[in-house]
Amino acid sequence: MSIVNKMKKKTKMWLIKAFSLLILVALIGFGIWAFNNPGNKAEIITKSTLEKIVNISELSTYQAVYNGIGISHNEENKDVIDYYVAYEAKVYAGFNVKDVRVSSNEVTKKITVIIPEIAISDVNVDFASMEFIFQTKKAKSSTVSAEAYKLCEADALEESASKVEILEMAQENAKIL
Amino acid sequence: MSVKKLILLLMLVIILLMSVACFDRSKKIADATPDLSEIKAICELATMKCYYHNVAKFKEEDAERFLFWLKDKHFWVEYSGIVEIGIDVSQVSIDVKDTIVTITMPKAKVLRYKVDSKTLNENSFFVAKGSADISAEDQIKAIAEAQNKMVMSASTDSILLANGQQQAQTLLEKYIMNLGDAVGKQYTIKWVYLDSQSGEVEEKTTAGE
Repeated sequence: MSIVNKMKKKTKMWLIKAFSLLILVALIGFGIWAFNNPGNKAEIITKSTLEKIVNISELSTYQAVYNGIGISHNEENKDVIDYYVAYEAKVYAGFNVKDVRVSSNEVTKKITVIIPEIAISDVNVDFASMEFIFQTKKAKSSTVSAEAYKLCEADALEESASKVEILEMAQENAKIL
Repeated sequence: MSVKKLILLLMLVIILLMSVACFDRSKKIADATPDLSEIKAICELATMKCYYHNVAKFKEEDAERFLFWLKDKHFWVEYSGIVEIGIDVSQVSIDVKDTIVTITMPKAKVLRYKVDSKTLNENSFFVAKGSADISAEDQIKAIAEAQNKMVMSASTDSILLANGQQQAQTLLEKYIMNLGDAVGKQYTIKWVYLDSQSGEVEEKTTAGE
C-alpha cells in the first residue's frame, strides 16, 4: 500500500475515534445537565386534623419582625460549622389578661388597674422562610429542617430576650390600652 | 496545523465549554449580621390555641436523572401545627351610658400559626427506600404546604371561630364586671358584632349580676 493510502487510512481512523469521543462527551454532558435539571413538578398532598383546643387569654401589645441567621455547629467538633440557616420570625410581647387586677380607693376616688409584668409571649419562626447554606455534606440530611427550626426558635428567643426596648414599648402600649 | 491537531483542539474547546455550562461555580457568602426590624404596636387577644395533626406526602417523579437512569423523590412528614384564634382588640370600642355598656367587637379570626417544634424531629420524616436525596427545600415545601392547609381549615371552621369569639366576649365581660364591682355599679352589657366582610352588625345583651 502506498504511503498516501496509509496516511489516508490513519486519518480516517483518527476521525472516527475523535467523533466517537465527541459523542461520548456530549452524552455525559447531557446526562449531567439532565441530573441538574429535573423535569417533573413535585406533588404534595396534605391532611390536617384538629386534635385539641386549649383556652388561653394572651393579650399581645407588641410585635417585632426579626430576620436572623442561625449557625449549626458540628456535634463532634464544635469549631466546625455544619450550616447557616437564614429565617424570619415574629416576636410577640404581652401578658395574660386573667392576671389583670382592678382595685378602687373610695377616699381618693381612684380606680387602679394593675397590669401584670410584660414578657415575651411567643416567638413565631416562619418555617417557609428558612434558607440554608451548607458547609458540610453530611449536614444535608433528609431531616435537617426539623433541627434547623429548633435552632432558629432558640436563636430568635435569645436575640429578642436581650432587647429590653421591646418589653418597654409593649408595656407602654398596654398602658394606653 | 495538521488535521489531527485541529480535531484535538476542537474537542478540547467543546469539553471546556460543556464543563462551564454544566457546573455552577458560584459561592454565596453568609451575612451573619442579625437584624431586628419592623417593630410595631399591636393589640391582639388570643383566646384559643388549636393543635392540628398534619401529614404531608411529597412525591416528585424523575427527580434525579443520569442518562437513562431515573430516581423519584418520595417522603412523608408528620407533625403538629398550632393555630391561635382571637380578636383584634384595636377594633373594640366601649361606650358607657349610665349602667349600659355597649361593646363593639370584631369577629374572631386566625391571628397566627406555627409549627409545634416539640413534635417535629428526625422521627417525623419517613423516606421511601431508594428515594432520591431529599433536600432541605423539599422538606420546607412539604411542611409549608401542610401549614397552608391547616390555616385554611381553621379559617373556614365557623364553629371554632365562634368559640374563639365567645371566649373573648367572656374575658371582656369579666373585665367590665370587675370594674363595676370596683365602682359599686352593676353594668348591663350590650354587644355589637362587626363583620368585616359583609359590614353587618348583630346585637346581644348581657345583664350584670
